[in-house]
Amino acid sequence: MDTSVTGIPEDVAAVRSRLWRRRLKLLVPYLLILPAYTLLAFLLLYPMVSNFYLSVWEWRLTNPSARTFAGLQNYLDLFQTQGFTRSLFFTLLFTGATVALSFVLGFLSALLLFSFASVQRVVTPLLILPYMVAPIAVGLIWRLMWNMEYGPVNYFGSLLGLSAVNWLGSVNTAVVAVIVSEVWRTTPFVMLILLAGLSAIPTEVYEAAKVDGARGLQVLRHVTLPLLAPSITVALIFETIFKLRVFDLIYTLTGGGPASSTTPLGLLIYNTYFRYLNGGQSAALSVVLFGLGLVICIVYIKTLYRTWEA
Amino acid sequence: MPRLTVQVCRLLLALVLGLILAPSQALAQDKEITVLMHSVHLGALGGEEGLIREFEEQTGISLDIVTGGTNQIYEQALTAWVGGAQTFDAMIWLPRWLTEDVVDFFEPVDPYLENASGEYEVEDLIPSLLDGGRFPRGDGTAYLIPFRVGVAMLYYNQDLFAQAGLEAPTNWQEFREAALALSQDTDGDGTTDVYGWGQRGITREVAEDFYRVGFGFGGEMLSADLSQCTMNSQPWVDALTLWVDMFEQGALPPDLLAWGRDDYILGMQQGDVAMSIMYGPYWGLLTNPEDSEIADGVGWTVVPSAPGVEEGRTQYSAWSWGISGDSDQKDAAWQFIQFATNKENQLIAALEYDNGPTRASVYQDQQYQERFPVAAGWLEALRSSSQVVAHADLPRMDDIISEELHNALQGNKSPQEALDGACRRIQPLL
Repeated sequence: MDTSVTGIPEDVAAVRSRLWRRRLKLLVPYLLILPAYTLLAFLLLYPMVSNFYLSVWEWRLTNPSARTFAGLQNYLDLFQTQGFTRSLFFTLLFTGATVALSFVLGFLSALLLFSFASVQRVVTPLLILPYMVAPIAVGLIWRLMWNMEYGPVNYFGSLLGLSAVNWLGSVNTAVVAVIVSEVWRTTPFVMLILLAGLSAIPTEVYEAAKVDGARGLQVLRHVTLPLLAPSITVALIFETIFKLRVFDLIYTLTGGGPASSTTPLGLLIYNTYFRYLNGGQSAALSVVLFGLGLVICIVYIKTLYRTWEA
Repeated sequence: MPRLTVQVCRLLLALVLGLILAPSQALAQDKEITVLMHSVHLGALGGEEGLIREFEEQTGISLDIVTGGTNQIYEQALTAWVGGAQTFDAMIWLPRWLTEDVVDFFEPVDPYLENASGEYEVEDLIPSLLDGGRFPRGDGTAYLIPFRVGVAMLYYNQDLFAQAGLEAPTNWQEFREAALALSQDTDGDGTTDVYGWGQRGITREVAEDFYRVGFGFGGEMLSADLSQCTMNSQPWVDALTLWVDMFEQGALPPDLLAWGRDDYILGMQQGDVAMSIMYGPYWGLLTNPEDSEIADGVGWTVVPSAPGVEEGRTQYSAWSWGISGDSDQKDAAWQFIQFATNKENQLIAALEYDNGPTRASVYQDQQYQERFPVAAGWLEALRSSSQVVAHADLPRMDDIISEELHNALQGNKSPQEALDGACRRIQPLL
């Protein structure tokens, strides 16, 4: 048997070295993503865990070190406050309505633009303009738009013979105004994602469907929608998360009123932390908002991916 | 040693010495302090080129100014203190925010006031404003020096009052009659074009305007020991009844609940609102011919009062300067505060930049009285008015009051029910 200078037979050494190389090769991908995951853990996981930890203590923003263990009391207190249940209801209503409307309008716009490829390059940048405006500015713009006396919305309504509506000064109409303003702002985002998804569908699939005798709505239902499912999932997940945590648009548009009827959880968290200085309860609210988003996203992923795979 | 080596060594030595000495010399010449203020206060100091520049030239202390809105000031200061960031050396603050939660973040200013030179004339600062910056309020330790005060006043459109043959109201009954009489459909299209009364109705802002009226009815928000909510007492119910009646009868705009600061100022400036109870320094906005159509015809009087209530009693707020307890430039911060609140600069800020002065001498100044005929009314109102309570949970109380006011204005609750509901929710906070 040949031996090397170390005294280990050379073929054994070669095998060991090969094994090491193979192990190293297996490890390389993990090592490569390790920095990114470490960063993610630091930026996402740590704040999440830390927030949950903070939510089981009673403490005030001005003196975080003087805290007492509260267990789940902060969570139980939430359900006893009038503000939380109303805010939760509004958040769900707002999220449901805006996601549904943005999706329908965004999908229709994407289909239209996809069908008229020649105008796509010119029209698309114009259509995404609302999404490029900061939400806080959108709130201010729409505050003027909804103005009962000078607002363009009531002006155009009057041309149709409608009487002036007190949009922001009444509970029911304020909810409608907030929803419409948000839909105006975020429809382009949905449109953009779905347009990218539509462009990625191979033309051969449409040609095959045509050869098989499929017509407009049949193509849409059996070809376009299933192949668009991944883009739809992404659009819905992003939209839902954005809507659940809405803050700035409503802050400038209605300030959460009248009578707290348009206060989303995001605004309630802000008020609870910065204005009421109640750190424990605002952390508990954040955990609830996070849980809500997580549950909805899991439902989306399960339902839509099942459709996609089928 | 070769000549070249010696020269290189000298050069290196000079470089090292230069690097060491240059920053320390610069530091010795240019102290810098960071000051947090509302953008309005920067304007009241004449902007970066006005009194700020003068202070920097006089003292050699440069100012790093951070501006923000009312809420942002509170948030930024709190975040900096709690995070131990030592961000600000001096900041503008409202006495209502000086509560047990934050008082320890401030440096007491009593020692500075005691050692202030005679020229500063501490006694010239309006005593009630100075006392508002003490904790406990009135006779505690001084933490804040008043810089800008605004007492609520009743401003009105003189032309509209003259056309209707009305005098400025002095009590709430006259006020009610005037508000109704001045609401008009001027073009006969069936909708009101001029509202007799305009206020802010949007969430939170509505609470502040309601306090101004409620104080005029003789209301107190809490009992003297801050342990009982008294906002469901008769004066407050009367105040809310007035709001609800005027709203239902069309003397207040139908979209009142969406009206904020800009809306009621604009309403007055454009002649769409006949009268309003406003923050005093808005006088400058109403009488500015560039913005206001009624610049020459703005009338003023103190806020009406109920029988037995001191004339002009309402609410005022005094923005005041404080020194951050964690600052390592406290003396420089005090120098700035002293500069901004001294007699001479209070007069300049009042005359040239429309600041609401906090020194009695400015109100007595002839030049000032000519420029602001309303000043006599401000001083009169200040004497009989008070600030809202300084309680750690005041922001939550404001939100509760706002919500209940909206309930009453929308007809979901009677004024008594709404205020009883407010007190039921406020009481556990006390």
